[in-house]
Amino acid sequence: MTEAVIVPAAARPATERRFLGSLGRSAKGLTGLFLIAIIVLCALFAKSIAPHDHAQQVIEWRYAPTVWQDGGSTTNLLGGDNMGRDILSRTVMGAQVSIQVALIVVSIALVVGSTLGALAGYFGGIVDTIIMRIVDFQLAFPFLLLALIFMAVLGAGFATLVMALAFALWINFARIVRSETMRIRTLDYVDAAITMGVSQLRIIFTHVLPNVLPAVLVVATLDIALVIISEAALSFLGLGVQPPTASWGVMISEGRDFLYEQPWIVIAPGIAVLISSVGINLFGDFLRDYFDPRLERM
Amino acid sequence: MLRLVVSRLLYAAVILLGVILVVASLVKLVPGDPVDVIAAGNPGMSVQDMDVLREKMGLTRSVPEQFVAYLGNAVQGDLGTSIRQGVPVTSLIADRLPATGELAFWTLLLAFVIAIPLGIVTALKRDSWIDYAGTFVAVLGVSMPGFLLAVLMILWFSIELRWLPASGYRGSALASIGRAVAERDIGIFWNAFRYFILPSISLAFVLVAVNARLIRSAMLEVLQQDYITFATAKGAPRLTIILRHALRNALLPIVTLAGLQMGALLSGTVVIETVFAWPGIGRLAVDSIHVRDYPIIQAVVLVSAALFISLNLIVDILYRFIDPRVRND
Amino acid sequence: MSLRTLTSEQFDALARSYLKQATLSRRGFLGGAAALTAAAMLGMPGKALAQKTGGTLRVGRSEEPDTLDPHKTTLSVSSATMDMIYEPLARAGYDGEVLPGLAESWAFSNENKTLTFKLKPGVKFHDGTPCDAEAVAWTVARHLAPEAASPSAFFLGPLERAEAVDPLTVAYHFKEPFVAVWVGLTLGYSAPISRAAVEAAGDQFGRKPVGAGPFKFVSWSTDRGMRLERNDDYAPVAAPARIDAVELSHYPEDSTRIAAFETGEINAIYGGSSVPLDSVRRLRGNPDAIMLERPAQMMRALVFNQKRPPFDNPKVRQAFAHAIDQKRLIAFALDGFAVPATSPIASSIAGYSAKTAELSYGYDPEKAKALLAEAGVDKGLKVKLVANDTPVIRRTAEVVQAQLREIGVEITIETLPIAQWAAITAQGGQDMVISTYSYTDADIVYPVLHTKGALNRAFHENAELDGMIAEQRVTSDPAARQVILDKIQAKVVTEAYWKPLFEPLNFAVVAKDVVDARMNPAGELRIDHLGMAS
Repeated sequence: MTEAVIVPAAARPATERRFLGSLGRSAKGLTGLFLIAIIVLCALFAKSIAPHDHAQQVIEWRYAPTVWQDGGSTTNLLGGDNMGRDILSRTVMGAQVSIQVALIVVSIALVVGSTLGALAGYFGGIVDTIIMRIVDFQLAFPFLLLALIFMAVLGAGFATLVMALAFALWINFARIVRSETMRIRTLDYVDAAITMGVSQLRIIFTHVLPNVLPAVLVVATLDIALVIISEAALSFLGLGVQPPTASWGVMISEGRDFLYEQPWIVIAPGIAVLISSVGINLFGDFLRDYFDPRLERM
Repeated sequence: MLRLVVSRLLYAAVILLGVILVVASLVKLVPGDPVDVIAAGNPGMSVQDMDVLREKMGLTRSVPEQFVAYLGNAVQGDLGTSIRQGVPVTSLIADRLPATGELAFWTLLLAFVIAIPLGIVTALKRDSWIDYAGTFVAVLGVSMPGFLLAVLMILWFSIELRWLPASGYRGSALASIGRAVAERDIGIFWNAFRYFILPSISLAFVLVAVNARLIRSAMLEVLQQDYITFATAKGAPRLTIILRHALRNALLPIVTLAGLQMGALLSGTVVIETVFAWPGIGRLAVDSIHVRDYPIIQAVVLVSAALFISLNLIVDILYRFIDPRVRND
Repeated sequence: MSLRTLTSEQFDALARSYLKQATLSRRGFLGGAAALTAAAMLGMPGKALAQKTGGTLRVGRSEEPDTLDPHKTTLSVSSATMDMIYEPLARAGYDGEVLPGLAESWAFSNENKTLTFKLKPGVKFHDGTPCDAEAVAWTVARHLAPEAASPSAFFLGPLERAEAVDPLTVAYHFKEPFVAVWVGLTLGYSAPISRAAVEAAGDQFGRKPVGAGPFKFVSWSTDRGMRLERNDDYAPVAAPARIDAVELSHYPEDSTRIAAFETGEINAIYGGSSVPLDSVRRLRGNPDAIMLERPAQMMRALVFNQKRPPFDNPKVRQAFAHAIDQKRLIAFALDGFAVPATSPIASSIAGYSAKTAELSYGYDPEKAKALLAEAGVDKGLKVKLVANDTPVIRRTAEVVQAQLREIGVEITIETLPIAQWAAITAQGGQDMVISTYSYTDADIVYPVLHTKGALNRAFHENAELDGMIAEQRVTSDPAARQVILDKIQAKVVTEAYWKPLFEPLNFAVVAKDVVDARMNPAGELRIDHLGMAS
């Protein structure tokens, strides 16, 4: 068994072609990528896309209907909210918040979780016991209740939001990396490397981590969707980002009081949440099928 | 097996202790106590009044002192007295737990009633339009935040169509079945049950998605097994094969999953109970966090963690019975 | 001047004026809802003791009481409910006057440290046990007991004990004269409760309350709400209620509550923010509804922390005051339903100084920028605003943020849960805070502006102001007191300690067939006074 077979190193042209080819044939992957592209473009060019300042309050815009409703105008394509702000601009800016939070949270969770998982799986013994006990301990908390207590106690805000979510998510990475590491650890060539006296850190970095990468990538993608949903849920409970930052969850939460007469206040951010999480989940599904068609999501 | 159960129980106890400790210190490290809440709404209260009340409520005792006293009582089943209401916390939880429990019950029932046929059909008709539709539902299910689905359903079913109540709880639907049967009046059941519909769907949607996919792949795997091929070759009716052989084997891991999902549901109910004004322990937790009623916060966390751990334990043990390949590690 | 040297008539007048304008609109704002307390507000019904009409009033409220044990709660929605079940010694009228309740008369003595009540004869609790001096004294002892740790005990002030002199005479002995005595004694919090019922129910008394008020408690369940029925044996106290029963349900979601009213499931909504601002226009257009509204004795103000630069500089505070456009703020955050505030004392409280309207710094962004430049902080000023997380306050904070951005000031908003908000702002961990209160007497200046006040968030040190605040407390002549209050308000406004923002309105709505519904200053309806047309 040679190394080249095991390591699906992304840089190799052949692998790259295979990946792109597979993506081109997958309706799931393409649709997902398309939806993700919409959100990412919104986030990157939010300032240029948004027709107005997202925090600007204009009396005449209060409860302005959408452009296709009676009384709607092109000034506020998706209408105005209760505070006289442009919903389209806020929704577009919301993409920035969602993506920022998601990327930061998942990066922290990924680095911390993978490192601890790799250590636990590679060394086993007491290291494994300690790390896995912490995982068990955290599993005993319902995830959202944990985040909720965290936020309610420490006060709402970007930093606590990120901390609470990262704190809740690292275990996903730790668990998958640990089990993959344990599996790889027993493979012949790793044994051989150890016998040859290759340093343990080097083994972890050159043999173990590249091999768990696909699985980690899949989990990371799916977790991004989870973070976007959770951020919205926490913001919905009033524990998310602070004004004037526009967050989809905050918008939905505020708009809930106006469901009767101005339902459009909720619809736009609601659809935005859906587009991004559907997109990411579709793409994540595709990645999983690509790397390991037998894996089904738990 | 006994040794396993005992050691797991001890382990669970240690985890619970850690859970209380973390929550207790987290809540107390942060400024603001119940007296601050009371004083904020009552300008007539002077600084001295506040100090006197703190003293009386035992809030001036040190954290370790309070914690030890709390643990001592908790072991005897006394989870303390609500600071705000002066009522034993156990009775408050006992009041709220049935509403949450029954919501979880209908949610799981709904989840499996829909997921099982969906999983079977999508497995049997692999790569047909039904399978693709199933994939679509699955992706939508994991992508749709429960609270968003809840708000959209309220918009449509409660406000537009006026079919179902937008929030509230009018007693146990299960308990009303007896009366409905005795009085031959389905309306009695319906009056309680209709309040469960929107919250259960909001919670169940993601479970339907996940479970249907799992059942599908388990079915696919089982259908390829030799004994199925053998039964088919023997000429057994197709329906019998699916139900007696394939489904039974495919369901085993799924049933154990139900236990875990029940525990995870506790998390989801925090949000959904808030949206639907459901008088369950999720909302009790949120309300108590706001007014800093420490004993209630601790108790809710303790009870949910305990439920979660024991469900895990039961599932674990069940699993060992069902699948002898799993061994102690 | 000492309270002890006042004649008992003078002290009585002072204490009554303390309550005047209905002392009881303390507004609890837990969980964003906030029902107003209490308020008993007995008083003369509009048309003296109108006929019994029958019928059931079905009330929808935003909150549910936590407990109906008067010694275990300070939640305003509980207080409003307890005022129906329990009968306090005195009741406050529709305009804040002190009127007889369980007591028919009273007098101060012993250097104004003793208040002796003569009780009405023949009054019984709902369980049939006598509601006499003994019952009053026992209730007070329970309320004050250290082991009770009663959060509502502060309503009794420096009360030492109550003594049953004879079956119909009870003496309240205070450690020192207590000017705010009627605030608590006109509320259900201080009303006698049935000892027999307490002993039978133990710690469940709060869910099975027994008092001597106009309505008897019947049932309460988490899912179906609460039912109270007319106390037909109320006659020894006052005329029994005109309607047969009250049903109180809670609908936390605004939209559900309004829908319940529109479909006739309930026929009254009142108390706190039970009538949401967002639906006032809709309800006003409903021909089957009667809207009641009255300015609330509440204040929402921006308070600057003078311990933190640059707010030690009056110019900066003045600039901020000029930067706020109250009219626009009220339109955005409250859909227009509030009164712009000019003084730290709400305009509906006796003692409000009308002169503050001219003294106030009006909306003038150019002047604001100039003042900031004069103070040398016109470039990149960043300020932390701490607000509690109730919806209206959060919206207010967002508008303040947007308006200050127009003069180049960047505001970071921190919205905190009420407990943390209260604790952190008390320690001065903010540059600015949106301060809120609900009170009915001008003595509110003590808690919010005196150096020793529990709710003082400006953190100034000013002996002159402290002196004036202490003086108004013991000045029994209304005109003389007004002079001092005018000076206090002028000082606070011109030196821009606060930027008063707005005074909210209280709303109630009842169905067309509800007659004689009147709102008291606390925003509550006296249910025993209203009737139902058949």
